[in-house]
Amino acid sequence: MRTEFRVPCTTGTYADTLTALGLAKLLTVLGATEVRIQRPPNASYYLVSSKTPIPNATNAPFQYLFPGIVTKGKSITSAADIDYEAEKAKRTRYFEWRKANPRVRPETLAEGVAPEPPRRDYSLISSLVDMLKPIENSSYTKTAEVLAHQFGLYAEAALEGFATLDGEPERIEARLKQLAGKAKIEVRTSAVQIFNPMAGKGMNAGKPNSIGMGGLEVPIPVEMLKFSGWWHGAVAATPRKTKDLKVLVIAPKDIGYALLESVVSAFREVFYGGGAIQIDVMAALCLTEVLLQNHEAVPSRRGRPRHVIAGLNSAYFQSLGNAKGVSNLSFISLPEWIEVQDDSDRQLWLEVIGEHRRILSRLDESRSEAHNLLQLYRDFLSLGLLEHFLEFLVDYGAYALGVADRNKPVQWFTTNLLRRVFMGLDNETGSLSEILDNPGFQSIAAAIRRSTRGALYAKKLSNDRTYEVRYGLAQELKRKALYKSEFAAALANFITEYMTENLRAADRGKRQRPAVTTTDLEQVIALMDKHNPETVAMLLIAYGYAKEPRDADEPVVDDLSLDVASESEGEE
Amino acid sequence: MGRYLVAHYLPTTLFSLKDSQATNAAGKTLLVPSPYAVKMALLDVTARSQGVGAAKAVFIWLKSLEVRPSPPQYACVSNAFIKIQKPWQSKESGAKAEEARKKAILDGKAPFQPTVAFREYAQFQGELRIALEVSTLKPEEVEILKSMLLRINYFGKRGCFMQFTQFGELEELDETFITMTGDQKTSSGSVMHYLDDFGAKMTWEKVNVYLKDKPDRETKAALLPYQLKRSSKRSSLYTRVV
Repeated sequence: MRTEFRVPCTTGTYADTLTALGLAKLLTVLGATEVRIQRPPNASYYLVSSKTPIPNATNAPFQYLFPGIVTKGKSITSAADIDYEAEKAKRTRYFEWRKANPRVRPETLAEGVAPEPPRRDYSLISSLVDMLKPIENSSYTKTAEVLAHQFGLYAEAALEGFATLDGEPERIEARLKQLAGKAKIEVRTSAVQIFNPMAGKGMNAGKPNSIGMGGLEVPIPVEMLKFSGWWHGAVAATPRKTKDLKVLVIAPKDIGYALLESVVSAFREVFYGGGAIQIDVMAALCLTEVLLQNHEAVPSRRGRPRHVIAGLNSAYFQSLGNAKGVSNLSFISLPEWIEVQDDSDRQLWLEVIGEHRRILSRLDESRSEAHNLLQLYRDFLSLGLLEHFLEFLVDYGAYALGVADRNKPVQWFTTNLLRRVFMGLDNETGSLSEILDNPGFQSIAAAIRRSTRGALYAKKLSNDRTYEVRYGLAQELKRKALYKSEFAAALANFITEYMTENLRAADRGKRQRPAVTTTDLEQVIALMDKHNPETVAMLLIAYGYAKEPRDADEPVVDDLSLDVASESEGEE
Repeated sequence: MGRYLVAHYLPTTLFSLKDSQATNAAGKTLLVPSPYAVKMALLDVTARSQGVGAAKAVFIWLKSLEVRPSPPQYACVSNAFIKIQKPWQSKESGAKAEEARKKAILDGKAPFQPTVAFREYAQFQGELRIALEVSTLKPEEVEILKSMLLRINYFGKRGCFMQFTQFGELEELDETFITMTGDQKTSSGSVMHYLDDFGAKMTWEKVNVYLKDKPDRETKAALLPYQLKRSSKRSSLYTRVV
């Protein structure tokens, strides 16, 4: 009796993942218990397993694997079908109400006062309606029709295909014909690009002399699993200010199907779109947050979200006028650097993600500076490379200072939460903690902080112009960070000016700032001798532009009001 | 002569060979040339250097040869969005379609029109090796094979140049070579491709691109000794596991 099924990952796109998710759903509807999806280490397949053996499904009664979608002028035939026009109208009503009542939060009102919010999976429906035009004639609807009559045969062919036939389409097709015997059965259907991002309508021929524009055909038992997987692991979003479509599919690493369903549901609740890059970043952060909130998914001892869900397979469909074409296929990993040590650490990580989400959601991707920042952050998030994060932090520091200077609310990274990220990135060598804990490093980073955001907020909030705001400091130090001697000279120059300003203020009886000593500078130079000098330099700038949780040495300034304002705006 | 003749190549440009499951709309690349591509490259150089008659003779013993590539140590796959040309299609039907086509040709819009598509390009670091199982070949056939292998200067998409460096011999393939369905050993990699090879019913007429006979492509699941090391929106880095 079968308990294990293998779905080979042959396309390197989310088509493989959708198949695995659909297979898990099929096992569930056939009565399997404790269905689990795993991608074993160094394996080229998803392992979908069930605790209970799966009997022959040839005579299994019909079960819904995916809902039908009904558009204008058609009538609903089953309770599981989705009335697209009704859902669309509901969504329009809700957003019109939100537009008319921008300051009212619907969840704070009594039931029935605000219109019902749209389904969280609305974008899954609308994207299918858009990509499968007209959906009534699409392979999606036709497959639903054939399944209604011969569900058992297709289900059994799929089960055999992934239990014994290595998932090879030709063999699954042949087996389906065998199972049908003399009965008439539809074997193939057209490959649709939204479910098969690399095999949509387009040219594919075995010989260059026979090329044509017809699409590819695929066996129905495989395709039906992708249709099902769409509803259990995909999110779709239209990037802001575009007519494009981005599809992200959750790629399980090792997770029970029941838990996966609850994670996906929670993820769809918290995930909102944004620009094209923001969608990637926010999806990865929201998914990580949802996993961290779930103690069952991520245990408190050495639990890593990435060990549960590896990341998100994504496809970007660019609008070409009449149709949408694939312009990118990629995989965004969940952060490798998040590992939960205990419950307080879990809370700290949730705060880290909350801070990153607040900061990144406020960046306007249509502006080049913010666009570059988001790109840097996305690379860091997926690749987990320290240098990307440091570059992002340094550039963000300069950007945030400019925003604050224009009297706009801005969010800053906080040093304690940054420290947790650095520790996560540096689990093995421990060199980052040695740098961050160094008193000289701390002293100079604080001096940078006082000369930039400290001085700016003193000027803006208290009209205290004792100290000059060093606007270009981040860029200047970053330019010199490549070479140790040049950076040391630039740092010494900054400290000289910092101390000169201190002396001038003391002479005039103005507010004093803590001094930076020669020992501090010597300690930082020693750190640069011992560790990668560029890393030390970039860390210093990044820390210098971050906010201390309690800036005890900045008694004059209090930027709390600005931060509170920005937080509430971010939530809206 | 060992059981396998191994040709070593150094990739000198980016590599791209569209997966045969992909359409022109989104060309994901394979990470190794498929046995089909290697055999076609051999037939191509034979036809070019010695004529079609020689290629036809080579085809007879080449068609059933076992081919196993060994990918380079590293492959960094870049995601690109490029401009391509696709056949112009009329929105009309029947007689109007032909009329529209003639007009489009006069207007310069047909027979091809520009569009954009996704393509992947792999940058390799290290040697690409191609092993061919030659135990059933006669010595003179092996010599012909060698002379053709060293003439090959690209695999996959035209312009994906490879520089031949040397020949080697192996009695058994090591773990750096791909394994395919039916092989006795299994690779420890985590990347799977469906790779094409000549089917049992392949004939010269089916290979010949000037004839309309449909080629007999046999698709087999292949395990590559690669693992995905890092991935982002713009690129993916694969490293060989051994």
